[in-house]
Amino acid sequence: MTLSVLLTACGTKETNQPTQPAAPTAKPKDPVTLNVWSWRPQDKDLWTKAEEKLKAQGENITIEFRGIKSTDYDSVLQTSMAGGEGPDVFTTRAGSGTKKYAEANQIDPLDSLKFDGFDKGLLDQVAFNGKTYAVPFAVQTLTFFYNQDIFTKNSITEPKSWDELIKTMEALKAKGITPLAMGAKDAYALCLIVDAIGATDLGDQWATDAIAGKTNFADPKFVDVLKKVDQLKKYAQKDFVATAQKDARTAFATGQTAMILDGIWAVETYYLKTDPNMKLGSFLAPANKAGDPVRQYAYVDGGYAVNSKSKVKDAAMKAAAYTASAEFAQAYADLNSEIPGNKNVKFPDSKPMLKKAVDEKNRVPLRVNFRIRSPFDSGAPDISTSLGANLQGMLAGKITPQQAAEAVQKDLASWYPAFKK
Amino acid sequence: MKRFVTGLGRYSYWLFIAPALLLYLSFKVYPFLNSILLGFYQWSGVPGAPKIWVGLANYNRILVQPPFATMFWRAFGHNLIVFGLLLLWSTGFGLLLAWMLTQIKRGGGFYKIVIFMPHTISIAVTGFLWNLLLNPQFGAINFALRKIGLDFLALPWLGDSKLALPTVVAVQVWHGLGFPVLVGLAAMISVPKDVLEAAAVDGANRLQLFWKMTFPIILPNVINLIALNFMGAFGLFEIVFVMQGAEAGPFYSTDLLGTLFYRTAFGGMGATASGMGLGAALAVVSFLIVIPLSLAATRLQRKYSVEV
Repeated sequence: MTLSVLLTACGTKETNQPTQPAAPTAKPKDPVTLNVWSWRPQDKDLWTKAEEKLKAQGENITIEFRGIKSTDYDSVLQTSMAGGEGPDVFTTRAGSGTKKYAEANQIDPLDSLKFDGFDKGLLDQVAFNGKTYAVPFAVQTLTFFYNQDIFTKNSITEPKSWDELIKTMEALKAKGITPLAMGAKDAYALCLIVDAIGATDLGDQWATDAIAGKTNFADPKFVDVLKKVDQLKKYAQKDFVATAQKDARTAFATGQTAMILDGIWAVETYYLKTDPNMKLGSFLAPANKAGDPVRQYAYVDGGYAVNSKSKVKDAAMKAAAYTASAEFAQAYADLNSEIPGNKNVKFPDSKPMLKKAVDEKNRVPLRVNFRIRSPFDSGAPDISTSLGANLQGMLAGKITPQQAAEAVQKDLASWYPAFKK
Repeated sequence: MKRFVTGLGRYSYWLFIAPALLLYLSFKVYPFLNSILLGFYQWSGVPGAPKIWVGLANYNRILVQPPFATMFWRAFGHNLIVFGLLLLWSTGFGLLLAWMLTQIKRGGGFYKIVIFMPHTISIAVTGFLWNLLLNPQFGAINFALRKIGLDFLALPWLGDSKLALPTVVAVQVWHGLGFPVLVGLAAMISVPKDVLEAAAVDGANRLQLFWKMTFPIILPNVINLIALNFMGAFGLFEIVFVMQGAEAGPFYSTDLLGTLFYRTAFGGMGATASGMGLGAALAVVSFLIVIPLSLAATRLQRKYSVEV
């Protein structure tokens, strides 16, 4: 089987190719089919809108959008690119995910586009050798979400310290309410909890030191973060170890649990889809002492890149240019309740979770990432795979938080230059 | 003229085998040789990305150096467990079912359909269905177990690191059980009835009839099934990927050579770091494990085949 997977890497056809070449100067314009791939199947409507807008601008572009499950996306894309059958425009993961395609000249630099609505820090995450290679489409943020009705009914307010959070969980549990929905079958969901707690507890300095090799993941500070994650398992729903994150989301959205730790993208895609009338609240992972700073883990999810081998490059560039516009960003924010890359957007009062997330991102962001989209994601075994698996081991009681932290450090030390002795 | 035709005729078979040969060379031999070569390079798998010659370093990382060596040997151990479970559940239970089918007078057709039916469903759908059935919140399995008072058996099947691998293998067996039953049944039917009847007249009981008469005759088929189990166990990937993801959780408990290869070649959960060279070396090592044992099984099958 392994050989046959490798075999497919050498030439599998994955999609329809554009049917006609672009003819930008011809009038009326020749129809062009543009293949757009993303790991976000939920963006289908967004691209339908984009097609309408491009057509309204006089472009005869038909967009064939293909949403691929996030966990399958990279292998499908890599296989297709290797077979010369890749899409014209596609999402690349920020950081080293973009860099590896840029380094191999598989994607074109996009410096000719207007990026005036983007913060430099954002563009840096999709840059290589001083050139911008993708249009950042989303900034993701992580936070605790809670069911306002459950909180109000039980006279509970947002916790201001970690101890208060635990007391809140205890109080809910005493009343027979499951405090927290946890999807521990999905390792990535456990990593999100570490990100959120770590943002507050570790801060920028720790992350900077870890990247420089001055501290590492076996550090007591990081072990303490894992201890907190371990502490939460007491308050999770029954059989949380076998629960997928999507089922944890359903449990939360249907009022079976009071809280969940999740990304902002889940609000519209899962919670409000399940219960449009759900009243949500959110708070960042509280600090040990009330009043101490809290931080939000925010990261560039990815960007739209243009395949350098695209046969319809002109149309692909036009589509990429459109994704950099404030109009596209507004459509993105409106449809998904997520934070787009371009900051020139208005967030309506009807979407309070989004407004709050944007405010926190601007006010109290963690500026240096230590897990997702960090340098620790760029080698194998990457931090996400290692941390996710070890967290599962920890929550199952097979290893202690200290052992989990040491195992992660050991995995990273096998390839991360600053950790290598 | 005749000599000319004869001369051409000598090579004309190439013309007939050329289409198949070309396909075989392009899609089997070339990728295989290519992966052997790739195993000596460090390469992300992105076309155009730098390929750096690293000699045997990839093999060293897989077989000796932690953390990859730890992952490799753990996955290898899991493949062996899968082989053991397939032997027991697929071949063992499959043959038992086949034998039972030979013993019943009515309803054989119905049972055959029921047993073979899952085989017609794709493995992706099978994995998805069983994920639903085994869901701890709303899954039918635990719901039914609780309803009949077997609460203690309503376990987190796919979330417990001790249960996850056997559960996934059980789903795989459920999907493929029709095949060993079919093979076993066909072999058992081929056992001459008069021989069995003569033995029965001589006083042999059912167990003796099976063990002394049927089993030696169907042995080549059993060896065949065992060989297929072995190849199936070491080639297993899809069901784990569908049910547990590429991370093969929880805590690597369902990690097999196939899933390890996938993560290594295409990148793990973050999916930003991919190592096609390392993955290729892993594929070659897996190949070297499977091939000699498969050849041995083929030899054994020939050795024990009997004419009836």
